Amino acid sequence: MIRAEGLELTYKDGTRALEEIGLVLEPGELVYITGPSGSGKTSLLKLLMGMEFATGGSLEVLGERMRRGNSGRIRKMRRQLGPVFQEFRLIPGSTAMENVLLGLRFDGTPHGKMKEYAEEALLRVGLSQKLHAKVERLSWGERQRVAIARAVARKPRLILADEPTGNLDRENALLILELLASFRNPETTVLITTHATHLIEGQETASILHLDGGRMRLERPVSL
Amino acid sequence: MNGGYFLKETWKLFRRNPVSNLAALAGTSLVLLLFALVAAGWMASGEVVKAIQREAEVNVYMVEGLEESAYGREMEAMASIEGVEEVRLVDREEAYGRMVAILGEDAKVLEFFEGNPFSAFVEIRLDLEKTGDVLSNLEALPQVDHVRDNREVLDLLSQGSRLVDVLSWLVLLGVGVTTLVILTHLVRQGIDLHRYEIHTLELLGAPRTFVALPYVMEGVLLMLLGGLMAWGMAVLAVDEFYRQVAGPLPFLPLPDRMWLRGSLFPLVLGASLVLGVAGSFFGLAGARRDD
Ligand SMILES: Nc1ncnc2c1ncn2[C@@H]1O[C@H](COP(=O)(O)OP(=O)(O)OP(=O)(O)O)[C@@H](O)[C@H]1O
Ligand SMILES: [Mg+2]
Repeated sequence: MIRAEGLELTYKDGTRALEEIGLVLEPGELVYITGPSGSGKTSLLKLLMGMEFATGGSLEVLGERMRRGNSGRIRKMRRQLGPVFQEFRLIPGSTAMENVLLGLRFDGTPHGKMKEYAEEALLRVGLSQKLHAKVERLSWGERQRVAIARAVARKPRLILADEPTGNLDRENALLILELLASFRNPETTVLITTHATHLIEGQETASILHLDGGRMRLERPVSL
Repeated sequence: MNGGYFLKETWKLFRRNPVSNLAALAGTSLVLLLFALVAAGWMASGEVVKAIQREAEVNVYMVEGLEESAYGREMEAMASIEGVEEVRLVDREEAYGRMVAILGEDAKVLEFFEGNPFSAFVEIRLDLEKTGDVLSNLEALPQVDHVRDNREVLDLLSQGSRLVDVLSWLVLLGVGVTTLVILTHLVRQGIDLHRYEIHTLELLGAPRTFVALPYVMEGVLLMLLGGLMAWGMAVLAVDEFYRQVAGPLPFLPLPDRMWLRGSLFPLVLGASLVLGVAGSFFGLAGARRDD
């Protein structure tokens, strides 16, 4: 799924966001990446999605080498990802349904199934009443759930959720984390970043990685 | 199913930036109107020249005092010249009658003459290719006084139509450049306004064509709409021109109005389509280079 070795990311302005990251994830894992603000969680996800490229080390995601020259194949690889962005990245002016459908229009989902998959995903995140609401009229938590629905509707091999519990109260945050964890299956790996360590302590079948100042340490090993 | 999505996205592009889109529509339709008018003039002048060439004929005037009865022999001689296709006598009565027809209401002036001021002549239809030889052979005949041909008119007309040709190419160039500039800017502006959406689509793995199609469609549809409007305005202008010209210049062999309309349609819409596609792709290419 994911293979990283000696991964390093230094931004153009000289900020060293990640250093010496080694990581191997297999299909069916559930992984939390924790760490304080600015520790490099989003940066790591950016590398995994090809939004940034490592300035050192090597990285392979779903069999593709994440290198600048490989953009055509990275584009295809992204169709098997279910990304949930920290700032959601929903399309304004479109409804919840349209946003979720968007993720299905070019990922190989049969056209006859698109609507069914999108409705199913929105139902699972509890938004079946808001299918046709424009996203800018939805509450923060509702938008977050639309973003999750868009990521999971395409039945991705790898779900990458960046801080999906930010700005949510404890109860809703727990619900969202449980929801995301529920999409884990033998073929699908789920990776979630959060700084809310207290929320994931009960998750016994998940591995937890901790980032601090761009360096990673294994908090709790895999226990499938 | 994606067809509906692309149409909807294209409509959103119009709605997001209505002022630019409407300005571009007005600009392109007016520029295309210019193109349509020049094209109409070009087709019409071509038709006029063709029509006049089809009627290539010369009038032969005999020396004064030759009896009409002597014309028969002379006409046989003319008919035997190579390149002459038809020889016909137009007697004084007919010559008078023709002038009356041409003058119409103004034929009253003829009443100032005593009797019939016109002389008989021989009308000869000839093979255009051999005009030069035929003319010199005709003039060599002893009883021939002079030959009147419509060559000067023809020369003038073909000069005129050459000028129209050159103008057409210039206008075509101007129309091309102007519409391309307008469209390229519009498409780039659309892309700039939607950087966020485009980036999101790319992060979701959308193919390039999927991302680009709404912007191309915006440009192409806008041009087609502009072309349609230009055609409509050109049809009105042509109709008005025919109304104005039909009175004072009834004998001008203009092409059929409906034919002109029909030929303008594919020409203007075809040009719009080509320019629309080209402009949109220039816009895309420009936007990509900015990344
Ligand atoms: N585009 C960028 N250019 C320069 N520096 C950046 C850029 N993006 C992030 N950084 C820096 O890299 C470091 C890691 O940032 P990152 O966004 O990965 O943190 P994070 O763990 O996701 O934080 P948060 O919990 O607040 O989301 C920070 O110091 C940040 O300022
Ligand atoms: Mg972050």
